[in-house]
Amino acid sequence: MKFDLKGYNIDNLLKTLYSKKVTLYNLCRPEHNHIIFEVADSDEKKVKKYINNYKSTTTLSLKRKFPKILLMNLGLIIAIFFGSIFFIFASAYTWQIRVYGTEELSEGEVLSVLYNNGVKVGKINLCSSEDIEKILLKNYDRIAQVSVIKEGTAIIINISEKLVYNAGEYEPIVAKYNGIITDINLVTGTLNVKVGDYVNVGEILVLPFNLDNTNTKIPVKPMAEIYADILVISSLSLEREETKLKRTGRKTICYDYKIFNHHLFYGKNKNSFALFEIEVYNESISDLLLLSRDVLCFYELDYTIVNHNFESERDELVKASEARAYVDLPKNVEILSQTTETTIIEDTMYATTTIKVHGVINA
Amino acid sequence: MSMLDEIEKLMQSVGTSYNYRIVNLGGKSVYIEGIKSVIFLSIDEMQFQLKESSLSIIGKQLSIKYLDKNSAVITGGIITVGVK
Repeated sequence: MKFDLKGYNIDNLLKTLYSKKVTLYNLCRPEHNHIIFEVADSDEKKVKKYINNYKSTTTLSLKRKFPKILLMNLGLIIAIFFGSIFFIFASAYTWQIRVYGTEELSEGEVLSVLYNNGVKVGKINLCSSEDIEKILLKNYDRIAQVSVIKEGTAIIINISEKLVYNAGEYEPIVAKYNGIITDINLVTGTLNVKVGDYVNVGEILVLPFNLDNTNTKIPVKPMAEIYADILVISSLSLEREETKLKRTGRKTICYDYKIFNHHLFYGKNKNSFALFEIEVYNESISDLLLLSRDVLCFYELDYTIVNHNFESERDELVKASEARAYVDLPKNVEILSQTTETTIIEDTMYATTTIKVHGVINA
Repeated sequence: MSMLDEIEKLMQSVGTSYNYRIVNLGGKSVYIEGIKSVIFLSIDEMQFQLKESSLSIIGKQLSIKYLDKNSAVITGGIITVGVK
């Protein structure tokens, strides 16, 4: 322990220390009011006690090269140091992946996807929890929700699967139109949608089973009336220049002879028309020999270019678009609104009819 | 065996006892035994109370390498070591 003191009672202090049998080392007094000395650790408290007595006239600065407690426990400190390094190094690894909540999916499937994306047991895992969630959602449509938590060196994955319809029992109720669900009258089955959902044609609305208290699926014939604001959209287009084809009346008939349904040879006639349409049918020559021929009728075509006037034909196109929309309209529905818009893009005019109705979307 | 002890034994054989010992090592350091108290310390002069006398060391850049209840080692440019 080294002491560096400044003050005016240094002689008294030295005499006191000497009288108290304190052993001094490397004592130096560069000035009459300045003294530097060292003492053994065992005398440290004793010196401090007398320094405190001279506090009014003595300033003290303590300099210890290395804390005593550290020197005494150097081995322990080294062990803690290397232990900490090992702990930091080891904690970067993933030592366990736990998967919960799987039903149709197996834990192995989940782990194999993670393995292929670099998330492995015994490796440093660079993916964040959000990255792992994205990987699982991307690879499995059956997963409805997934949450990933990292606890130390373990990755805990909680999966919630979508309710899955098993073919072969009853058919589910599906949407026959696109629309936004407004009301649900469920009799039997399990709902797959809720009010406010936008559904597309073919999307499952009611699954053909009920769930009991233990979440066991009991097959039932699904029955429900699901009301929605249905959007029926029809679009027709008209090009400014339309090419119309028509037959000229000339035709060429060619034959392709076959045996056992394998090609034998072609007949003499060959098609010489540049623009044509073809009709093909098969006729038997000998049932006994399984001899037959394909008859290829080539009809010569001619084309004419018709120029349309968008202004004069606009109404006609609108009417055609509306008529087409009404064909697709469900029966027994309340029409809420109807609009038809025409747009011209380059040399094409489009008429788009949108009819909004309220009715049963699964009828 | 200490050289000083050997010398003391030799001197005791002729009926002499000593209150202090002083060894000047080439003018670079002084070893003192038999100190009773410190009288005065500075960079140029140091005085110690011995049993029946006082010791004065005059020099340049003096410092105490070691000081306990009985002995001391003083280093520096030792000019004179005197006992009064």
